[in-house]
Amino acid sequence: MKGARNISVEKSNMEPIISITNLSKIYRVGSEKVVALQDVNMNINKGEFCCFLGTSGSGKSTLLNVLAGLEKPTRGNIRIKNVSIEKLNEKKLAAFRQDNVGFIFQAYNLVNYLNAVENVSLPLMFKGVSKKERTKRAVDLLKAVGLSKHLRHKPTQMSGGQQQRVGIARAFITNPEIIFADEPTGNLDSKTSLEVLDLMAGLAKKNRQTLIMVTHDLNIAKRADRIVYILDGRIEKIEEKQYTGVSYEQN
Amino acid sequence: MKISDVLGMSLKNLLRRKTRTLLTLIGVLIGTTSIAVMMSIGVGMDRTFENQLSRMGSLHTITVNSYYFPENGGFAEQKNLDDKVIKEFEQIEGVEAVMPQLRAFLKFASGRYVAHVDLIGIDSSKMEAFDFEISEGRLLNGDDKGAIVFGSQVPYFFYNPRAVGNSGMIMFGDNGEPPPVNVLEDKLIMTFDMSYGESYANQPGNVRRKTYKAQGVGILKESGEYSYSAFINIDYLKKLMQDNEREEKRIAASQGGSEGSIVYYNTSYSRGGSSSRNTSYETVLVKVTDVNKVEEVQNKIKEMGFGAYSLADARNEMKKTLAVVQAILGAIGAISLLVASLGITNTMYMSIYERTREIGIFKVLGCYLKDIRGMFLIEAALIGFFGGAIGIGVSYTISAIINTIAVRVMMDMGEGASISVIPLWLALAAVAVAVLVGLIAGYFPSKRAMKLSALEAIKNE
Repeated sequence: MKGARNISVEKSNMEPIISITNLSKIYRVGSEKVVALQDVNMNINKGEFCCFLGTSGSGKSTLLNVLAGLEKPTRGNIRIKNVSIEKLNEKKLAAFRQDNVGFIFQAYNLVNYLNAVENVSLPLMFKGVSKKERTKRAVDLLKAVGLSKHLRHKPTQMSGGQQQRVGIARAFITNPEIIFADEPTGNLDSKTSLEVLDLMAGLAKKNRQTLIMVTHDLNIAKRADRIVYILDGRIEKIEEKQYTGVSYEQN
Repeated sequence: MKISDVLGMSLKNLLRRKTRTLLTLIGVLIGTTSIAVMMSIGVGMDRTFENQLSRMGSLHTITVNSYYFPENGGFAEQKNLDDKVIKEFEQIEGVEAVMPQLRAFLKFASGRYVAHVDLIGIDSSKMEAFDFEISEGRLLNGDDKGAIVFGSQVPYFFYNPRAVGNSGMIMFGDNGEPPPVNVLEDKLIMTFDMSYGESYANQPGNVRRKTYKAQGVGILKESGEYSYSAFINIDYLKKLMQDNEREEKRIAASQGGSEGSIVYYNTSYSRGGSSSRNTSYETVLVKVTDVNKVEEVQNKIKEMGFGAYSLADARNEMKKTLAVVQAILGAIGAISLLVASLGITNTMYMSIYERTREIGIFKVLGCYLKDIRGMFLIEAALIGFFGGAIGIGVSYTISAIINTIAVRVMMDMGEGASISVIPLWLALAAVAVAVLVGLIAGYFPSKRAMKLSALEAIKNE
């Protein structure tokens, strides 16, 4: 365990995929300034399962959004794979997301009028992959997440857990190096939550993908390799598992 | 994104909201139909006009008068239209043939029937070039003397001046009865004496004048420019006119000062007549090979100081008027398309409002802004396209109905004339306009979709 700021987790066998330097995000609400993030510095390593833990309003979601390029930081620098993403324009950002990033949402955010296969293949469609190929890949992945019987189901015909499995499949379909998950279990009961979590973490570990999750639930956070406690826009502390890189089931 | 995928997403969304799509589409349909039908009436007017114009005469011909009325007002100028000038006309680029005309007003008689005839002397060798077409008999030959070719209406001019109740009115046109005189077979005479055969011819003081033999050899086909005149070899007409002039002089000399009795002189149309060796013609017809050069040649002749008139003048004037009429008709039709475009915009805004979350998801998942814009633009354009295409189908139906009713209501429309005509260009243009209107109507909504904040859109409820 180390101090809240100026943490360097660089170990010789690890390569940072994300480096955050002096990151601040300040909102202006009328004449009031609201500091959402203040001077955040940290690195996230490739293949790591990192969790931002904090209460509502702590700034953990803002941190995720800024990392994902959904919001521009007020100050500071974010380098993902050595690209300063805060400097990218909309078009480059879209291309960057297509190639490197997957998203999993609390509310699943599936497109209601598309079936499971179509939903999962959306990111591939945006990349311009042919319908035949993207459908094949989507079907394969949906089978892998245990939805072989729900390929042509619309989101409204599926349970929350099933919907989130579709969401996970959609995030992994492009084989991104980084997956952002914003309260992925927030709408699920505890049993389903664990199933979904296992699925997510298992897929990420298998391909050595970096998984960054936001949650307010310590029990969920405990599954991560590293827990970053966020409080009032600052990193309060970082807890690391003893054996980084070892699957959590073994702990 | 592949264009086929953008199109597919647009179609999927249109089909998902069937009722709304259909209603918006009907708006465009009505708009397109109203434009197409309105414009088709304009096109129909144009066709009818062209049709009538071609019956009035050839668009290739320019009529040149010795009088020239300056366009900015002022007094008429007069120049001699003589053989020298005619040579000059022939030199103008684009001129195919030049035909001088000599005109005289003569009285024709056959038995009890008489007719006032506008007799035009022409060069028989040029008749074909100027589209003289024979319906019965033959055209003139170079060695014809008293041979005459009649315009199709001229035989009907004959009347019996002594018949009770006949005021001598000339009945134009065919009232179903055959003309009283068979001009090709009956014996004909002609004279400059306008009193010939009339009841007042026997009044004291009226001097009888010479008569000449005439032989009808042909009747022309119905045509706008030649129907109301008779044609004779120009050389023979010159001779007749010289002869008449001598006779007039003789009569004038014999009557001395009793001017009151000289009532029925033929005021010859041929100025100059025999008085100068160099004949000056009343009118000269100039034929231009290329219709589009008619105006150019006409202007050159005007510059030479002659009055020049062609159907192209009337055509240009009419075209201008028609253009205004078409613009007004089109504008009336356009109003409903404008309303339809508001419908499209409204539908698209509604759609974006409902799909805010979806748009946000697309953005987060890495969809390019141009693809998002493309989806909405294509959606709007598709509404325009289908509305326009179906609208054209409806327009053709309405057009056919209008024409069917019109034929029943007005029988005298003339053969082949339609009130409403939708040429292919109009159909294609109408669909193109509908698509364009869709694109314009979808532009601002699609821009708004593009600018939506992804973060706001996907916020957890």
